[in-house]
Amino acid sequence: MKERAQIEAIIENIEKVMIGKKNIAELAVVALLAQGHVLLEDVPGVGKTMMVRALAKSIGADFKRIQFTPDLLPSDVLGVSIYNPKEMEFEFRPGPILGNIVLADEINRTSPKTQSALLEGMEEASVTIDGVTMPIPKPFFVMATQNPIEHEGTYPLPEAQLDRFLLKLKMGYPHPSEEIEVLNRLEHASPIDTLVPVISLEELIELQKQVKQVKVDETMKNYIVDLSNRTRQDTYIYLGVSPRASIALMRASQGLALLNGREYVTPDDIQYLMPYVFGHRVILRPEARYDGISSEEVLARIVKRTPVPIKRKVSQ
Amino acid sequence: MSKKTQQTIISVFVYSFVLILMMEWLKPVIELTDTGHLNLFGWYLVISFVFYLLKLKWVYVFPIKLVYICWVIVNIYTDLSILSVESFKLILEMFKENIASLISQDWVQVTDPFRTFLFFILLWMTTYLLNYWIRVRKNLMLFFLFTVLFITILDTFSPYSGEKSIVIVLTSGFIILGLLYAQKMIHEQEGKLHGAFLIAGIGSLTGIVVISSSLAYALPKAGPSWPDPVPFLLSTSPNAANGDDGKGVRGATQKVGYGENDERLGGAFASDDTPVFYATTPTKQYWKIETKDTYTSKGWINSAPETPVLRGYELGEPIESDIAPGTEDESLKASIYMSQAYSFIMQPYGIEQVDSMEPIYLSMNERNQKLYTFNGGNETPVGTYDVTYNEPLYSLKALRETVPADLEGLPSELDRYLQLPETLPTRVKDLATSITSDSDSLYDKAKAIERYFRLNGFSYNQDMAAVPEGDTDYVDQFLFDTKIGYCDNFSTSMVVLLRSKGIPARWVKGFASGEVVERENGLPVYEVTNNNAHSWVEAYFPGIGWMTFEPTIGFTNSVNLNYDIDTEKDQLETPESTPEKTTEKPKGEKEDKEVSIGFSEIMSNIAKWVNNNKASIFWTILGLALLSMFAYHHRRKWLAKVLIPVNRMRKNDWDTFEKMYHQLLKQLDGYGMAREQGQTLSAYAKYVDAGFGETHMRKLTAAYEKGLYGNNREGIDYVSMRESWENLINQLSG
Repeated sequence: MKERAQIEAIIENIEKVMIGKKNIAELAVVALLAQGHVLLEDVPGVGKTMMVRALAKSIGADFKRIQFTPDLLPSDVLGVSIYNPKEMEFEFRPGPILGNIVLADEINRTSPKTQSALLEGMEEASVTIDGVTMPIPKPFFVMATQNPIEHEGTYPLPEAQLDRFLLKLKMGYPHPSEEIEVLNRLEHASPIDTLVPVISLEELIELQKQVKQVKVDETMKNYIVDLSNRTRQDTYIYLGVSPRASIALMRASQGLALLNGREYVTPDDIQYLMPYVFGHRVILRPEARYDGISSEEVLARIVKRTPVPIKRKVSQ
Repeated sequence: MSKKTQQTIISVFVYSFVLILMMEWLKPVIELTDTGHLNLFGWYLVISFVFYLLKLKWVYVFPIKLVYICWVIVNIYTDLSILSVESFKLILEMFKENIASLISQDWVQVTDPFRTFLFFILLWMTTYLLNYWIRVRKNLMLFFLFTVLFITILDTFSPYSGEKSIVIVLTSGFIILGLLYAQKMIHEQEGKLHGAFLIAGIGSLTGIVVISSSLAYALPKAGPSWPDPVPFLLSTSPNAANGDDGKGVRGATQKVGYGENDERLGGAFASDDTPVFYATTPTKQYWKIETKDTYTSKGWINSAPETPVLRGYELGEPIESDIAPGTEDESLKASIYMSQAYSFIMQPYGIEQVDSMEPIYLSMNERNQKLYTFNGGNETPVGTYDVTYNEPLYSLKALRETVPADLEGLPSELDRYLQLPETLPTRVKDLATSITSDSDSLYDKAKAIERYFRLNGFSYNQDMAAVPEGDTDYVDQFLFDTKIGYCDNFSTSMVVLLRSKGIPARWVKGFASGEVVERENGLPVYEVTNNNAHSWVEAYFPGIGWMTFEPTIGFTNSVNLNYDIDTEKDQLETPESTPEKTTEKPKGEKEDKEVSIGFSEIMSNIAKWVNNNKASIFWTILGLALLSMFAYHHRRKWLAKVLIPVNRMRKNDWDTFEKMYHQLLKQLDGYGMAREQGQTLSAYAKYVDAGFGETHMRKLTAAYEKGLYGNNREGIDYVSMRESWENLINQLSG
């Protein structure tokens, strides 16, 4: 399994700088493989930037970082055309979004106008400036971070925008022993500087193609749709997931299957990814909040109650 | 105290209590079969369990047990020392002879020492099985349950009283179950139990069982809500149905054996295995004592001769019997050793002469063929004597040629053998006619009557024979009402039926051949006991003479027939060209008729049987229903035993694998390891494997998921899958 070895090499590389967050690294790689984007929601300083940088270094990709501030303008993201008096014409200066791996830090600190500029680019994989459409080079992977909504001075992302992210992850604080290990590693040097690429961009693009070859059995498609439907009917959920979420879940599952060295999707893949894919796509009713139930709990309950298909349908 | 020591201590207790349970099995067996030597069998069990407890290798156990068994046999049956050469020879001889008997399926010939040996082997196997249950399965529930059933059934249906036994069985049974559970707990535990906990556990377990048992024993108990089933079951038997006046149908139980008085036949017999005589003889045969000629409708008497016609013989003098000895073969000699004092000779058929060392002479009563022994004018019992005999030989051809017309010119001295009571119901005569109507020769008619009982639902039973009350005829009652009885019923009925057809017949008393108990100079020694007392039939054919018949079900007495093979062969080969043709053809028709009669008879018999056995049928159905409920409830235990062979017959392909996988899921569900509906198969497999500490379920699930979700069914090693599957199924049923 060449693919598996390559993927594992990436994850191992990330693990050299990220301690105790293997599942997050894996999920980020899954999103990368499935050509999706990741929204990381966490407090500052838990290693979000470090992970993205490690990921970018591992695949030898161009790494750009945008620090979102309340006064950031769309042109600061997309790029700007500047008049070149020598050439007598406008020259395009590409913005940071035109990179392979983009870290959009604290995306909820900027105005909705700038946010939407980024999100449009993510969705279309191209940017249009002054009537000129420019494709974003492949692979293109955005990892946006946001502070938890409760923090002051933030512009919460609209639900429609959130739908653009394949996965929403939470890092969480490291375990004390892991934190000590972090200190140990950083005592004398920064391991991020020693990282070398383990696969080329071309190989990554090949892997992304491979993901689409992973088999999704009818039973599994049924299962995904069943899960999606149940989010639309659940009493605690005000707005269920869209069909785009179903597609996202399928694609992510394919990515996870490939990561696990399997050429077919199993219900375990789907169950594992479902909270990360659906978590930011459902809107809970106020009752849920009164009852102290989080969206994770609601989704876990749905998974628990949805029968896993364990037999081919006779009618087929 | 280590874990091992703890296990050993519990094992000692378990084996002790199992020994107690086994003894409760042994006691009734020994008591009811009159075996004796309970202590010797008991010690054998003790030895066995001690060996199992010590986990001795079979190389030590086998010879020790074998020596013990041999010692017991030598000790019980002889006065020899086990170390002597004779006893060794004896044992070898025992094996040689009895194994030959076993191979030829001659069960009767198996001697008592060998039976003892076989019983030991049975005990050996039982202890082995118990050891397996204790050591490997750690579950003795089944044995316990059967012990309780065994004792209760014996207590209800046999003279054995299980009152004390049931208390012992229940107490020790519960203690065993508890101890085995404790052992299981220790086994499954990573570390060991605390010593105090162990002692407290065993102590409190024993305490609880003993206290609850004694409490249950002491508490007042309600009487049985159902009446004793035994009289009820007996009342539903066909025997009771004929009770014309409903009172005391069965007479007082008599003791089986030879008696002079046969005026009133019927009633139950208690068995009595007191030996009467021992006969060392090359051939197996019946021993005739006398005949009786007058049927009184209740029993047999001899037609009163004014003076008995006696004819004296010296020892060694040829005896003239009205059944001539055979001439073709050499004469044979039987040596008789009498255990009981009887002043008459046990006559083999074809008797030629009697020799004895004792100073006696013989006297034949020609009225009843009884051969008395006299000494100085008084009837004197004789201890040992030799009888020379030559079995009479009959020509089948001659027998077949006897026709009813021959009966017309019979000599008048045979008239007394045609006597019938005037009160004999006509239906008896009608029956005789219908039985014999299809046979031409007198011999075939007699054979048809002899066969009749075997083919028409009669049964042999010593306890259920009725005593005719009032005007009831003994034969009529047996033939038409009870259809159950012993030799007297069958033989008397056959004589009456023969006489109804005009064939002279008489009732013979004597002893059946008995059992071989040992061998002397290569000849078998038959032990004839009171249980062998018997009665049968002699019929007279003109031109042939007297010939024996055996109508009683379960008995055989072969008559020496010359099959006149050549003639028979001719007839068979050229049936069309011989004059026999006419007789052959009706025979064929007769067979057809018999078949059709047979069918309608069977149907009506079934209807009758159902009618008569309503109660039994009800109980049977109830029993079956309970049994099937039990089976359904415990389906998990036996279903695996069925599933494995059934699936083994199937092909090794995906469809089978899929089926088997889902069967397994079902079995797991029944086992208590249910899969939640939202649980994926691989998560479930991990859970299952964690339960059993193995990886079979994961292996199966991986292959199944690959086939189902990945649609990749190549490269599945179905053989290894089946192994894992069977392993899991077996664990589930364990």
